[in-house]
Amino acid sequence: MNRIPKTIVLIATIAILFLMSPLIGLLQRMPWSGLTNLLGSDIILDAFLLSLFVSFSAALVVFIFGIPIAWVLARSNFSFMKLLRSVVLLPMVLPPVVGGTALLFAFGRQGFLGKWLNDWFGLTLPFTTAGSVVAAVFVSFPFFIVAVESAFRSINEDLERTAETLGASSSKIFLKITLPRIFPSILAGLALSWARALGEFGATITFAGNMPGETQTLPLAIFLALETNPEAALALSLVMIVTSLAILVPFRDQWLPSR
Amino acid sequence: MWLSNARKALNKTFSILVIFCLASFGCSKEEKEINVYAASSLTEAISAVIKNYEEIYEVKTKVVFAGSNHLAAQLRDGADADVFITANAALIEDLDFQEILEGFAYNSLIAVKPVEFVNKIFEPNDLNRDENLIAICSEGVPCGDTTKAKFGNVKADTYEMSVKAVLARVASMEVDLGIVYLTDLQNEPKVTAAWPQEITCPCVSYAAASKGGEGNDFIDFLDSDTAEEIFSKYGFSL
Repeated sequence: MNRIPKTIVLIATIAILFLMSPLIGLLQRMPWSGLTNLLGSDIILDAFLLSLFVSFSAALVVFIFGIPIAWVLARSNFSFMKLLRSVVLLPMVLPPVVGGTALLFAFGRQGFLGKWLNDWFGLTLPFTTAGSVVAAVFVSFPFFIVAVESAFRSINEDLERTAETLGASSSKIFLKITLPRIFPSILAGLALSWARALGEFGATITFAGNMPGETQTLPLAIFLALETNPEAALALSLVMIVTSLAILVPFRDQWLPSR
Repeated sequence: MWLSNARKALNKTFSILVIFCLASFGCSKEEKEINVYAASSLTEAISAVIKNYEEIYEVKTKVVFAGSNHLAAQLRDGADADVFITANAALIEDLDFQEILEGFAYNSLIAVKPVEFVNKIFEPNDLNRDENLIAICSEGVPCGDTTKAKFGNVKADTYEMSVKAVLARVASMEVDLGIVYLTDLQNEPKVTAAWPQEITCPCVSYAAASKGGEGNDFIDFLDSDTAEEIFSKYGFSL
């Protein structure tokens, strides 16, 4: 193993300390003694279960639709692909509140698609759990697509060509050869987009509103509690941190193999 | 921290400039400045009050508008305000303020609907029906607590963090009904009273607190005839 230059170590240490300090601050202010009481409250349990449901549903939708998008973006060479790629990545740069407002313009009761959903199917997305999932899908899509698209690009296509010459159908090649090879990237993309969906706040509160048990996910409950009950906000934050670590740590080796 | 240092440095530079100024031209005295934190429901009225106050007292005024709880949280965390104007007097208690003026203005709540829903006729019972999409303020923030006191348990579909957010939901026709301040009704042509309503309390009662000095002048000014005139013009009760 090469020795790491001291300057690099120093800069990395500073960055790690910076990233750690808010976490330390949070833990230091945590009301440990009253924690069991706080964690047992209905509001926290509701928000926790809802957050799990919303984030995993979003990850599922992102997985189903994300792979075809990433495939198309990686393998086709149309001139408008660059534009399409930017459009797909837009939710990453757009402030989530703007994303939520835009979702309202599209899927809200007065939105150009929402109006139609409402008239034809009596379906209103805002103020429902489905609306929270829609908001989470919108913001977390790019994280999955970026990870999977770059994986599609980086794999060597020789194996697929060989399979083709041997007479395998294109769907069989995709399922049996391409997909297994990019599996680690799929997991990485899923983990990233799931985490983004779990932390989603701005688009959710703008598009789906805030209703305990229906649309009040952990971040929304935390935001409200910060102003009215700071101790509950800290307990909720702890729930979020523990949940995300519990899901992400076991997965880490899948996408970044340990040496 | 560095921001307040920078401000100190700026102040120093400014003082030096003033000294030069005095020495060479004998120009006007150093301008005084106060920071006002005010509840967002007072945005239009307090802006008008400040305009008058600045002219009369020759004090430069910087103002921050946000939800009362949000401002109180910032003040607890060390934000620097000479005057804090809140829709909930209890929020002043654990903060470091001396002079307090309570109840200089009141704001009543009203159930509203989008103006375009002229053909939809609502009645008070609609607040308890599932068929309507309803937005109200969340409990814990002043407009939410007063909503509960006045309208009881409303079957809401979303609990917003501020009355402005409720207003936006109604104005954009995303909901059928919302409960907002009477003053908001005056400023938003896209919403209208959901049914004829008497203007009665329970109301939100505004309180102001100051840390002394020019802040006290400002608080006294909130009680003046000029300010009262402005508050009633914007729909507040006195």
